[in-house]
Amino acid sequence: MRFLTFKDVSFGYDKERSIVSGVTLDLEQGEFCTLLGRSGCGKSTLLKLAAGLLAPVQGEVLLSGTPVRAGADIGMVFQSPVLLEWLNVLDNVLLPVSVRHKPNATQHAYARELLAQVGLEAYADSYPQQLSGGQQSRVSLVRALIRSPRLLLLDEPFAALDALTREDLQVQLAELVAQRGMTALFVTHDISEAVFLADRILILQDGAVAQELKRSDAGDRSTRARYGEQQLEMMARARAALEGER
Amino acid sequence: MNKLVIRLLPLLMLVGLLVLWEWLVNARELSELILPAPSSIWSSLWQGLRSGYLLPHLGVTLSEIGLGFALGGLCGFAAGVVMGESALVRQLLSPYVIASQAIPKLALAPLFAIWFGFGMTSKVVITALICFFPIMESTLTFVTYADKAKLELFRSLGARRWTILLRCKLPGGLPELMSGVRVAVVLAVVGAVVGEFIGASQGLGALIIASQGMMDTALMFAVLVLLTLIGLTLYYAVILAERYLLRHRYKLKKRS
Ligand SMILES: Nc1ncnc2c1ncn2[C@@H]1O[C@H](COP(=O)(O)OP(=O)(O)OP(=O)(O)O)[C@@H](O)[C@H]1O
Ligand SMILES: [Mg+2]
Repeated sequence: MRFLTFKDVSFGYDKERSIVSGVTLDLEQGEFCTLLGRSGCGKSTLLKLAAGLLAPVQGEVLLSGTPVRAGADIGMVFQSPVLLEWLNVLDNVLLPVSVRHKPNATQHAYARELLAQVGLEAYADSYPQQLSGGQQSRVSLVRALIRSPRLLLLDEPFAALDALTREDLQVQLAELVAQRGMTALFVTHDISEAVFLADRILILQDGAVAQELKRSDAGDRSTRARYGEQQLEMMARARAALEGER
Repeated sequence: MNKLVIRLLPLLMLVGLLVLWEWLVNARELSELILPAPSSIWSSLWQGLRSGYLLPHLGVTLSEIGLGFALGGLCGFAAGVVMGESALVRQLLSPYVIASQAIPKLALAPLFAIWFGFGMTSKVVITALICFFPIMESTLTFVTYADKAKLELFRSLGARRWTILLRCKLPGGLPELMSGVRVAVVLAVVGAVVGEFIGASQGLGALIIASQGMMDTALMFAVLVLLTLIGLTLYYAVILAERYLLRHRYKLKKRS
């Protein structure tokens, strides 16, 4: 079933320059898509279009068949963590709930559980400025997950993490997404990450999808698969696609 | 030890200046009328407080400051929010706001005395008017220039305008608002006293005028000391409130 659809979408912050041009894209329900592209090619812009935070100049973005609007059932991880410095970590995580109503005990417990999963259970009462950059980005990831949204939009959520934490979180994220049947659009400029996480890799170039790569062994997220033959081969192909379009 | 000495230095200087002042007045045999010695200022202050003579005046001036600040602060805050949230209202009013900045507000005090009489009302109004502007400006600033990334976050969460104002703009703008409040409380003292200068039977400002008439310069100085203390107390009360409200943000700044 088609879940998120881009229909010939174009967008520019001003009239002179188009940042996203004529993107047509379909995300199936439950699919994990990664968006790979060089810095400045329009990845964050595309994600904000998908979130309904920006309105297309041309074309339309549909979520389950209706035009997407800000505040839909979407979990968004921005490129910078954007935590509120006057709330502690737990309250930051619960923000998507508390803008609607007072969080209940179950939601509190779930927030703590998610924090524990990303290794931040000890920081629930800390304030954002007491956290390192990588810890902050993990809090913002957990915040996006708290309402178990059907669509996850992630903008380089792991960019500030060390290699090992990053690998752990990639596996955990993939599991959680699969478990809860979420659909994910994951922006990264890291080729190995894009290949490891994806069912499908979209190569973005100058605001247009230049190429799509599908994995045949989707779903295998063991460490062996990470350094396996197929992964390496896919990485080579993704790299070539990125380079070839220059 | 060294640090303690450095912290006490301003206090030592004050004591030194007072001693110098006392000595100068005595040595030169200056008239009490021109410059009373600190000792006679102190005795005038002490007697005024002990006999209860100063208290009603103090009470009236404090009420005017409190009421005027509350009224002006609330109106300023409301006006700032409305102007910040509505581009139309902002467009409509901002020329007038800029124009009204140019009016010396204290010069309106005689007019208010005509309109509202010589009782407390006219002083409360002038105090409110003088407090209105700093609060309105700081409110307008934080409502208009809230952090774009945070606004985007709240928008992505489907937050309504009211929620965004209360949960994003207001807490984010608290430091800005408090700096407006700090300016306003100090101005409130000026507003109340100048209001009383124009015509009042009660209040510390009225007492200054009366002491001028009675040629009681020591009393005048005593009242000035009281006014300074009021201003300082209010200023530090706001600083303490600010510390409390922003305690998490302060704590962390020190750390990094
Ligand atoms: N708010 C904005 N106003 C005007 N131009 C913008 C704005 N945001 C981004 N741009 C421009 O749009 C282009 C794409 O930006 P975008 O943030 O989507 O890139 P990106 O692919 O996410 O890059 P990176 O990997 O560095 O995050 C850039 O050339 C940038 O200059
Ligand atoms: Mg980006």
